[in-house]
Amino acid sequence: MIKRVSSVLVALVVVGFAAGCSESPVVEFEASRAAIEDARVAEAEQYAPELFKEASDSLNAASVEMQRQDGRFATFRSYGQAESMILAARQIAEKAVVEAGAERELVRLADSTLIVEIETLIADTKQALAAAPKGKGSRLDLKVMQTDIDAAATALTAATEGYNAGSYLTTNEMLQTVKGQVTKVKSDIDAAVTRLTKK
Amino acid sequence: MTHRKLILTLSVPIVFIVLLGGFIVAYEMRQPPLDRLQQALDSVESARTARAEQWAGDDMQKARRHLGAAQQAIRDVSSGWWPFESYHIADSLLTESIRLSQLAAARARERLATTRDGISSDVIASRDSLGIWRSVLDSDLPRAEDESLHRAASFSVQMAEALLEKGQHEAAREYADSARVLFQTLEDKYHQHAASSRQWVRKSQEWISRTLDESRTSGKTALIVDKTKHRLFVVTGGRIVDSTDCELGFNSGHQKRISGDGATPEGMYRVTRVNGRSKYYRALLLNYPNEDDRKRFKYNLEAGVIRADSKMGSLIEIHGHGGQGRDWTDGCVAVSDRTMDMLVKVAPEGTAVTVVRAWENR
Repeated sequence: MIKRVSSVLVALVVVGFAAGCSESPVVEFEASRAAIEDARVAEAEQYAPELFKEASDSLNAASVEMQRQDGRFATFRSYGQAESMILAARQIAEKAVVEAGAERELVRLADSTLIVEIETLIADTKQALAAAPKGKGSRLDLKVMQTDIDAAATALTAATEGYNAGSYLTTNEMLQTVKGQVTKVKSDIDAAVTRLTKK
Repeated sequence: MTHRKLILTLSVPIVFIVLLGGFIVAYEMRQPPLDRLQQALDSVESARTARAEQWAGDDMQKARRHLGAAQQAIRDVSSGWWPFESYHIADSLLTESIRLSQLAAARARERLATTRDGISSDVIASRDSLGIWRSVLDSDLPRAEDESLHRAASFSVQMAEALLEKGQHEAAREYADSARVLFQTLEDKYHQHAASSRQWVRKSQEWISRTLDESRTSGKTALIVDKTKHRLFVVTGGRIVDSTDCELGFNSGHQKRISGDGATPEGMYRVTRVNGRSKYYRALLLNYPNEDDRKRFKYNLEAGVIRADSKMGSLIEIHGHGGQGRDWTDGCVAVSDRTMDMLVKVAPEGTAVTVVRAWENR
């Protein structure tokens, strides 16, 4: 009878231990890490930086939580919280991919609009320069203004290279700068042409 | 006997349970360095946002490697069965990872700041160069090519300034470098021009002597145009009797080479026609090109200095509508209308007109 009781006790302990054991969510963790890597490849660091950081922080917190549970005695391990964090990190990373793609497309569209605007500005400026009265007193002005147009066209070409390479965010700032400069050149040329026409 | 047997039988599971309990308590008491792990993860993340991967790649890589090794060390200890094993190796690795990622972030910030300061200094220096070259160009006869170079440099400097303000350091540097190259080209051209100028200044003295001698001998009036001083001198009997301001071609820093280059020709000429009703009030037409001009044109053509389809140009005059305060003609000499009234009286056809780069020692 006593033997049976002690056997049952031992068996209960063993079963209890076995029941208490839970698996570390390594596979899920790796899947989340891969999702973050996908977000990095999708340039989420640039186009959706807040989401990217949130996903990274969540995965880091999950990593700490997993380590905390790994350090506990097998029976007491519980990876529920870590699993939630891992899932959250993955979902946020996936959202970051989508958002980065959308933002990238928006910036790309903005870039292409800017390129067209600058091309139009340069064409208008060239036209204004071509229509300027040519003759004594204007040749140096026209020559120097042509330099401005050439420089603007070169700057646009350089910025367009960035666009073609897919660096839309950097290109956007570059294009805005070029547009500012070309607008200034155009207004200078318009003023000079008006001055020359009045002569 | 039965009682003793009972105690003996129960003692086995009790001892087992007590030992197991002690083991569990010891196991639960050891704690992985989780705070430090969190700190290390945060440090690496913070370094990433400081663009350490770009600016301090080596340090960042080391920090990540240490972090990975520390995580592995924690896992190794945690998965071991012995409850008294310590996490001190993991702890050291984490400490090192924190140090390295902080170092990476600091270096990244420092390098970024150094780069920004370097570009900023370049841009400021370029802005200063623009001002200096403006003064240099303004104090000299106009040279269209140099004006274009200055304008292109000005565009580059403005682009560099705007891009720097937006944090686009690489692009700003490219424009700052482009401005520097343009300034260097401008300087090279300036020195080339100074060397070529000297020969025309030497010739100037010879032409002036001959003109003064001729005027002295004949007692006739001659006109001498000093391009550098922008003055037109009226000489009679070898002596200056009057002088006035004049304006020149928009590219007068050079000797005239071809039609449309905007340079005012230098040489000894004659008035070939007095035009009392010119588009530019009144005008004295000169016999440009003279024999020297033709020879020089031919030489330049053969030497490939000028394009094969270049033309010599003509219709170089002294005319009115001057007083605009800048060199604006296509190569003619412009004076005020009042001066023109005087010149048409004192400089009939055949009058010597000598145009020189500079009349030295005057």
